[in-house]
Amino acid sequence: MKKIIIATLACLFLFGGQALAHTGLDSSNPANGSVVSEALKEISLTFESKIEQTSSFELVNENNEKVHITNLTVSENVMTGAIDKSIENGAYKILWKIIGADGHLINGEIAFTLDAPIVEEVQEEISAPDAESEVLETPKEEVTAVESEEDSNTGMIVIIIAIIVVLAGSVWWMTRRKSK
Amino acid sequence: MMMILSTISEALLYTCFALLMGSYIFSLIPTGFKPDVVVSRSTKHIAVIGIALFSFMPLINILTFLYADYGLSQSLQSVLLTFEVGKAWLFTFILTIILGLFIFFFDHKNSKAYSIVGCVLVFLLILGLAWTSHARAVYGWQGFITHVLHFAAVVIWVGLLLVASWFSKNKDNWLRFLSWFHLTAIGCFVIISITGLVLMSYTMELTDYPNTWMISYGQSLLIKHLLIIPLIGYAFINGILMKRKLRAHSDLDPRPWTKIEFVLILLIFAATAAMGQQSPPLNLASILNFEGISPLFGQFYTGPVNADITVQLAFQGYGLLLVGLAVIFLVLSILSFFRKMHPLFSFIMSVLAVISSYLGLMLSVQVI
Repeated sequence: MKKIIIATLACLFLFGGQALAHTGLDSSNPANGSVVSEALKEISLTFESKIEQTSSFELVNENNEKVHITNLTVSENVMTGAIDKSIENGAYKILWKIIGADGHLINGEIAFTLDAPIVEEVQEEISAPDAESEVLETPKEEVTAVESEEDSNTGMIVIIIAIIVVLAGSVWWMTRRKSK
Repeated sequence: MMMILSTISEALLYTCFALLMGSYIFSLIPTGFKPDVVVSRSTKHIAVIGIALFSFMPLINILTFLYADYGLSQSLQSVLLTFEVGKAWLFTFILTIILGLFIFFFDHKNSKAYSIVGCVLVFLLILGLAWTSHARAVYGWQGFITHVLHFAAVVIWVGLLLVASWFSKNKDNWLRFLSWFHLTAIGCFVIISITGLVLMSYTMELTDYPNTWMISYGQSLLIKHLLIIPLIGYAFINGILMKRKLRAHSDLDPRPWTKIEFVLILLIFAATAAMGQQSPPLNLASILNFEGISPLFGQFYTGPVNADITVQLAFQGYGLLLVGLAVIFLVLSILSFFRKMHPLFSFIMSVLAVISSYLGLMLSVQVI
């Protein structure tokens, strides 16, 4: 009996989770949703674990035009790239695609806003030391309800009735077998 | 489509491992303690080729991804020579050639030393598979060892079950076979459960488990766990009830019931393989942001999705009813053994128990 209990408990956690999947983004500079208040020279993305050499990223502006990135390097879990020319203020997105050490392909994007002072001006009127003053977290579009509440409810009732019918049939079959 | 293929391929890969390990361990057992088992040389060769091919599947995913940017030869070169998965596959490939030649030249010899060499080669292949696991990628050596232990225990236990139920010529010595297999299986259960829990804790806070049901990885893990419940039932039937029954009726054939147990394990393999294709809930909020909720979960929840939602369980109404039905199906699946029903009938009852309990849980989910 003891064995059964042990086996039962063991089974509860059996195969607890053969994790074979993705390496996520750990942090980035600029961070997602941040407002960058200085001229942007370099972008660096830090991942949770080692990423492979063919990993890359692109920087696009509001009109989906690519900004040229030079010197894109991957070292262990950090990917960096430099921006040579100064770029205009506005909303940007970093589109990254990497391959983790476990062989999985992962894409992601980081949105940020560039709000750097114009270089020529001598006096910086606003000095903003805190880059993350505004968070532009945009939740993924809401899932639209395909079915109305009532429709899905009747669907479920039909399924439940079907299950009960099958159950009744099975019980009947078993008792019939017994009486033979 | 690619995802379904990858999942099937991965589940078959585990089966090939189990078949080889099972057949080598079986040949180490003294004759009086096992049924007559024949795993032909060509079957073993198919399993070896299976390991080489199915373990290449993840690389095909990467190659199709890189192909557009780098061309075939360059992407093949960089994947095989610089990527962790590529290097691990080369290691696996070389080992499968060695194992294939070993089977060709030495396998027919009836010596324990050859079986031990076979076990060692399969174990080295397990190391190759664990090398590219998520656990090692994130947790280094500790993750690697945990994964190796987890997978090795699965392969040993399932392998013995597979070989005994599908490759035995007769049911001779079944009681004496059970006397050691039952203990081995329990030992493997314990290892699998502990390492499984550790692996699970690598990907989530265990208290967050219901929250992970919102994404595909959590759905697969939930289905896997639900499948394990009837598996306990079959372990009970095949390990304990069968012993009693065999003592009373020695003409009974236990093998159809162990075959059913193995088929259930195949389903668990498939759920595990599906998890390998999905993002683990290390950062649940960002997965919800980028990928949205799991399509399966979307069948039950049509409200708004954002990073802050959490899941709670509140059993009532239909949900409770379905959980109750699941319990009845589970009882039926075990009762059918006593009623001498066909094992397939019992299997269908088990699957219905899993479906009902899944629906019951999903209907009881409350998103806050």
